Amino acid sequence: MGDSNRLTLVASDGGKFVVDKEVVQMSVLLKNMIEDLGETDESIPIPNVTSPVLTKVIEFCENHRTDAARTDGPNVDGDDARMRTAVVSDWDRQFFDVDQDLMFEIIVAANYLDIKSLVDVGCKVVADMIKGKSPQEIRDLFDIVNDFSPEEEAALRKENEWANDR
Amino acid sequence: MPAATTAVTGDSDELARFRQQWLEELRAKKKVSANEEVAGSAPSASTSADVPAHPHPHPHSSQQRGSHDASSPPPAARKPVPRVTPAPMGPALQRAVDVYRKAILHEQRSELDDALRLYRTAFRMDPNVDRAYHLMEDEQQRRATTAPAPAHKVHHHKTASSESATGHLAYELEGLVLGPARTPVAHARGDGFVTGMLAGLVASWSDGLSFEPENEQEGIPIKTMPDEILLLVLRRLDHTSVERFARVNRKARVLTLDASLWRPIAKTIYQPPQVSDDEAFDALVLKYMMDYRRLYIEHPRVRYDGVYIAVCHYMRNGVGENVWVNYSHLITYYRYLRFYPDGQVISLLANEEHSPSHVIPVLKPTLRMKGLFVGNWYLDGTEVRIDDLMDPGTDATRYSFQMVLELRSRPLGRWNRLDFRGYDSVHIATGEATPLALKNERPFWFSKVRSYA
Repeated sequence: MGDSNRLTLVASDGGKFVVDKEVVQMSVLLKNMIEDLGETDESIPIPNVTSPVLTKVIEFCENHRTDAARTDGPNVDGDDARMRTAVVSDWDRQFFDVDQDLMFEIIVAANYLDIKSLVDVGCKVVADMIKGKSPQEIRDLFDIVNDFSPEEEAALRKENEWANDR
Repeated sequence: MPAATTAVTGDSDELARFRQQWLEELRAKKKVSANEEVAGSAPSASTSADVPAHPHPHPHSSQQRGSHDASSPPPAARKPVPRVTPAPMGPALQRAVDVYRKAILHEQRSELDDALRLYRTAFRMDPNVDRAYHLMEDEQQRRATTAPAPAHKVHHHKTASSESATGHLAYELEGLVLGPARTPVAHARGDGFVTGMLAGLVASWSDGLSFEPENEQEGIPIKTMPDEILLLVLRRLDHTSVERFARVNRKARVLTLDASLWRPIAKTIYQPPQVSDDEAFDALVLKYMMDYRRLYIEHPRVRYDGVYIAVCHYMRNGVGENVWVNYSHLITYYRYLRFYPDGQVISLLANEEHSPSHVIPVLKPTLRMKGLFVGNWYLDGTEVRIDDLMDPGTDATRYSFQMVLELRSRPLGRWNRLDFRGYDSVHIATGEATPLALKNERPFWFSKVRSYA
């Protein structure tokens, strides 16, 4: 190796990824880890993330490396109204056009690696999938079984009547 | 943080055990000292209905009592209990009640930080503390049968600023099952509580709820999602979508009661001009027993996610060629009110040519058209006050307008109706107000507008 601007990440299944340091540092977890390690040639193991997921995570970070400095993006614990109204870009939408398994794994990995912008976009994509759907449509979307008794369902429908204006 | 994923119902076992123990103690006590008991509680008619007047001659009296409980719905089964002398409390519960009482004292002195801290401590010591407290209060009242001080005084604690709101609310609540005085309480994740019907329901569910697949052979991706991340997703939805998601399954209902979801929603809304000052929010939180969702449903709020529209009609006599026919025209016009969180409000009066479908997309403070006025608003209790309505298109105006409207909710939680209470023109130079006639005015009804959210 020898290139001090690049690092090797090792996925849980042993897959190796050589990535620009700048890109890796979008993960707060890895950024702190690198700072603790100092200059090193050793590769960094990512024990919780598989190769297919890590591939996607790196793809996202590569694409968003330039807007890392941008501060106007919505953030995880920030302004609530902005969080609800933020719009997902076309590229991000395409990026998350994968099966649900992978989509959720990417979000979980991003949360673990502490990549705020990726968590943000991922959650927004899932939120947009839920938005405007009826309870049954949401069940169908995620293949969830309805475990309410008919009485419970009726009581809950009545209780949340207030929220049901379009 | 997977350790934090305990469900709302974490204390349900304990609660059930407590109730059971309590009932048993009551029965035991009743058997021993039933005669004394009857003497003490004879005047109450409802007592005799729920509590046997004599010690049961039957050896299986407790069983009978049990079946009586089972046949009636749970809240009713619990209700009779406060009528009876409570069993001596355990020292732990007694301590919790003492803390709760201190909290009330602080609340009455408007020391809200202390009150909130003590309430939290009390509920942490025993989730049933509020009921235990009221039980004791009831008992004391029953003994001193003189003054009928209302038991829910505490929860309707009034701050000077929300006096009228409180009165209105107390009125609204009377017809509801979720009376604030003695409702079930469950812990919500994210440092809050769930009260009322939902708390009872949630407590009846087991702890290990999850998203289970329709087809039992398959795993489903959403099942593997940590609650923290699902909550991040839910925080990106408006209340309508959150409540729809809540009806997916039990797990979804429990998850969507999380205080981390409702606290920001409520906190964002209940700021001036919706409340009188910045500190009012903490007082509101206490009033609704830290149930942020219920606060958001039940406390008056003017909505920003749409427009209030009044459709008004009047008849105008017309002139025609045929003298044997009376010509009259039905004239329709619309009043629009759109409120903004910064205290600005737009009022538009428009005729049929400007129907809602044309007006709504362009109704912004930058719009200029005849009949459009921009002013300021604030909410006082359920009274919406709008001042300084002026035509932004002209500088040379000598008059402004002011309105007073009553904010109402059908059903409770929508805050979807405004009734005219007063409408004045104000001479700007002198400040003199002259009432305008309100003969054709109809109530405003709220319409949600997706692009406003």
